[in-house]
Amino acid sequence: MLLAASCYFYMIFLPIYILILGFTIVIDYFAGIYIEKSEGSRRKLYLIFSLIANIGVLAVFKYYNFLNDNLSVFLNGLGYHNSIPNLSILLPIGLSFHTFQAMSYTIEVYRGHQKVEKNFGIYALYVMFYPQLVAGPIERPQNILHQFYEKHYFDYKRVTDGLKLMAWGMFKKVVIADRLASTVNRVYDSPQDFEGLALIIATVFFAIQIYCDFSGYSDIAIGSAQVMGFTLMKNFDRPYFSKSISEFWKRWHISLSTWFRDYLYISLGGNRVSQGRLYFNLMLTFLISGLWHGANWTYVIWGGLNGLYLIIELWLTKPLSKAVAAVKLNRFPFLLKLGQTILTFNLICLAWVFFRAKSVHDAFYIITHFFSDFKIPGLFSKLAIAKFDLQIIALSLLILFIAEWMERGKSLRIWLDLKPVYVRWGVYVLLGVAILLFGEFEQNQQFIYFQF
Amino acid sequence: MLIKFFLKAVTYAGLTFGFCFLLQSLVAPKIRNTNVFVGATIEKEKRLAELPAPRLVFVGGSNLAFGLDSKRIADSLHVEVANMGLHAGLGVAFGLNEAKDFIKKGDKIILSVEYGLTKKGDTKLFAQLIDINPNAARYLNGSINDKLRLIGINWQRCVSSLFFSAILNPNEAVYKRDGFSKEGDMIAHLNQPQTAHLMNMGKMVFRDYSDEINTMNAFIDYANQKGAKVYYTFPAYIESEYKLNKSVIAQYEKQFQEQLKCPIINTPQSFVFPNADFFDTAYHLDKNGREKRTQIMITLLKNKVM
Repeated sequence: MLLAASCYFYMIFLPIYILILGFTIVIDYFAGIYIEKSEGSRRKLYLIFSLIANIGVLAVFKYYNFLNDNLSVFLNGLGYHNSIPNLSILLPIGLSFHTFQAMSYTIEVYRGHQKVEKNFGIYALYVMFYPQLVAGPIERPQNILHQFYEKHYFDYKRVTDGLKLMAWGMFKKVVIADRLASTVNRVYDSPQDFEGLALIIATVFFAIQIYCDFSGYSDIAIGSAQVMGFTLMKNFDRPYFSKSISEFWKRWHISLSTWFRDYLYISLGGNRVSQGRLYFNLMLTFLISGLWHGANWTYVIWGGLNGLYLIIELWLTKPLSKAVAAVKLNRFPFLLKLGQTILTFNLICLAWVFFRAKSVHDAFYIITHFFSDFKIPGLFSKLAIAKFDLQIIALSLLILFIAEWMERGKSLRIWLDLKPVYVRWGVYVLLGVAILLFGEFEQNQQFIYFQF
Repeated sequence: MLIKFFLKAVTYAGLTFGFCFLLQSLVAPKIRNTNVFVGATIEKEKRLAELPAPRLVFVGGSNLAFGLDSKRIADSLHVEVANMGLHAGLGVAFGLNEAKDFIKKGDKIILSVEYGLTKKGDTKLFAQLIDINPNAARYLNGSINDKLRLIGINWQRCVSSLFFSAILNPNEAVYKRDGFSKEGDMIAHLNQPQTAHLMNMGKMVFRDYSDEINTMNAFIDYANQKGAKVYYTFPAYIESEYKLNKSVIAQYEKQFQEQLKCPIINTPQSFVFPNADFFDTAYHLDKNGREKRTQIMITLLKNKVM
């Protein structure tokens, strides 16, 4: 039943693409069986075969045109012409997500951390489970496969908790992310029409938009799975409260960060290597992470920039700690933490410019014009933000900030459970009313991460 | 446990939606501008329902509303005229669905849509429309989701009015329901000077118009079945933009000629007028332009329709 629902869900986008998913599912299913059966180098061979099949699908559907375009540029530079045509195909929705989830299965079977799944339907469901099929969280077989065998009875607390999480995710998506989207799109679609403050506002808006969009989706995915009795891994942990870049990456898109950590970074030797090799491992992991997001140099630079931040952070941690102690700044821990959080947020925003810009040229224009013009009169009309939108944005961001601040100790849902019924119901009804009255329903807004 | 859940879910939905409906019922009557432009659909639909056949019915966008003297056409051709043209933002499908409801045997229907006008209209305008004319909801082609969205948008309009007392300009001089003649022509602009800047559309990009033409063809088939006859005219258009978009307009003309199932009674060029004959946009003729276009229309109708 769940598998049929998942197939239907996926086929709403483009029915024929179910065959791509079917192809990788069949390959990985049998690869898993053969890996477990085999010994020595044959195990590795089956794993490599499975990885090539998965990466091959990604290469064809996601990276082929990118590679071909770059080949054209390279050959043109040498005075040759590239006659290989580009493919005109649509990128299958959520391709990078389910491919990575499938790869984690064969890798875990190869490593002996996961028993092979012999029930084809259950394995297919592992890849296709619809709440997380198109944008994660990217699950590990150890966490989710066994849950498909368990019986799930109606549990009032679990179902209502899941619904509350879905409502919160919906609030973040339709009230905050989609309302910010029109300003962000306006500026980033033609950044040359804007300067200074407008570019800064659009970039900060994008930082909030992408967080609310993606964490909102994750909340809806995790909540809907919870309603059905399944537990998915946490994908975000208030990342903009991070006090360093390394902390940010432990709190942002956790399922992907840990995937890269477990299957790439550690495989490269992790941090048990020389300092030079450590920096190389970090940079390579982040460059590939950037490329995972999209076939464009902007994503590669975004990944590279984050890698660079981490390397600089590693360099500076000790000298900075000494400097802080020397000037006795650690006597004011709140101020210190606040400064670190603001600095981290700004660095992350700077990197987001590359993530959101349509081209590297646009990204450099934006960064080089951040401080070029600070005219406030006429700014909001140029950005086409109505007063009403501004008020909703300000109010909803305040709610988001308070909610996340309160969540630093324990889940807001647990905090609410301890309150009298009229407080709880008041909050739930207000949340529903806010979604209906302040949600942006006019635009046909997709989730940003669906494209990856 | 399951019953407890459903009872609470229903209570929750009731409280949440009830609050929104309450808000609308309290606020909407205070902010509703009954003179809003799309409110003219009420009089237009009423006239079309009551007018005896055979009639000459104009269906399309605002190029018809601003650019025809229906009374003069009626006097010249000795036929009752109803001008249903209103707003391009309502899209192609809305006007056709609306007209469909009132077609009578012997009607002559003249279609005229602005270049590249999409089938689907603007959601915000639809929300405003169904608020003032709930009957018009049945002419919208959207899914249930689209229609629910309109209800949501109207709730949001109510909330925005709590923040800003005036969401509609009650002092609007032209774009208002009572700016129309009884035949359905916009007349409020006739004694207004040309606006300082004509709102032009700029360079057009051709897009395949098959979907919209298929919608018109379905309407033509339906009208034929009802014993009515449909004709098409290209819209009134400003000279400067015509020069800019001549090749794109030629592509549209070619596609209409190849795919449209009804006679086309003019060429795009025949309704191109100098910039001085326009009121505020590339499609809205002023008093002088309206006279010129009406005269050409009468000749076309005499020769090719009546």
